[in-house]
Amino acid sequence: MIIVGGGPAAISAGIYAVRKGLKTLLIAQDWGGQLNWTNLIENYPGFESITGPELVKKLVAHLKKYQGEDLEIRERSEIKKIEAEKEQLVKVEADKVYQAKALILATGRNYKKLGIPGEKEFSSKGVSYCVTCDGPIFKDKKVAVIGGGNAGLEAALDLLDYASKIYLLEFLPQLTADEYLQKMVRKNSKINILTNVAVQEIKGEQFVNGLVYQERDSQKEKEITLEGVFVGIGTRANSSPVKNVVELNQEGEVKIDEKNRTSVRNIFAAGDVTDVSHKQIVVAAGEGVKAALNVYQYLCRK
Amino acid sequence: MPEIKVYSTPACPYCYTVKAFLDEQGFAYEDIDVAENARAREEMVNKSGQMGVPVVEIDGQIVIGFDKERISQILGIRD
Repeated sequence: MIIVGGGPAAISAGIYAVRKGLKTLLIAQDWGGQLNWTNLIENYPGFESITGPELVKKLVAHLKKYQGEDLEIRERSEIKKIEAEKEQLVKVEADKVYQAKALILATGRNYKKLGIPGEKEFSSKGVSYCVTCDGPIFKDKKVAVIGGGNAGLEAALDLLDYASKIYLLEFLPQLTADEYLQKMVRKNSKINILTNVAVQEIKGEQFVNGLVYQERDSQKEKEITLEGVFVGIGTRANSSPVKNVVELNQEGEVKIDEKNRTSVRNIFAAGDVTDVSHKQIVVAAGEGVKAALNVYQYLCRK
Repeated sequence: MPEIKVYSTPACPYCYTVKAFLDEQGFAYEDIDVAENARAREEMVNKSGQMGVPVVEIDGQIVIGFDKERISQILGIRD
């Protein structure tokens, strides 16, 4: 069988699959996924406090202990396409084309993009998705945070340590973040809240130097001079390789049942790419285990 | 030994990863905290043409991000 992904769900699935004696290929584009943007983890049982990358290192080392005849690992391999083939085979196109009797999709989530002009061109040139990583670079600079939900407000609050001025922009007429976050943001004079605005373009030359937005009431276009734009509009499931293969919900998450089955009988899914109710590291790890054991049952019964 | 500089910030996960990798491979490097040092920050941006960390400089060659393959290639590290 094939496991696609490199985070806690995929790694746990891999460990269980190989221990069950399943001949397994794990294809990982990147190890750790969202853990790489996480500074401190203090809710993973057994580890009182550990950084994201440290946990990734331990997870990968654990998995690689089983690398061998039953477990093959393909790293840094981009998934181009996944297809459900006839005769109950699944086909995965990555660096090569692979086929298996069953597949676990555990590709996690990634930052949502704005999809406006300038965003891609100025990525790492003033546009960032990770305050933890890039915040300090914007010390004493003017920045904007896009997004009035929890992700956006947390980003704005984290930036208080660095930026000289923070514009917080939200498309809707009001912020949608939790009340306590809103209170903290409102009482800080360094944060300027702009609601009911549509961001339209990120401008710059070599680096970002401005942000254009439209006031939705007056339809007036305005521009802010600044040096950084942090996008904090949340994450989306990395489900594009299976978008026309299995059923997704409205948010683009892969729909699964209690046995991690998708709408295609030999494709299973686990972790944050699915519609599982809580996106937590320990939940993802548990879901990976469930998926592997369910694949084992499925293959035994076939 | 090659001269290696790592431009990083304290809470950046990939900075941690790149330093752990160099430690593991037994390479010494100068760790430059661009959160504290404004001049180093400017230097990093000028040299790399971008604002993301980490940036690794190996004998004048610039590597952006934790690009394990590129770093391994320059330092002659084999898997």
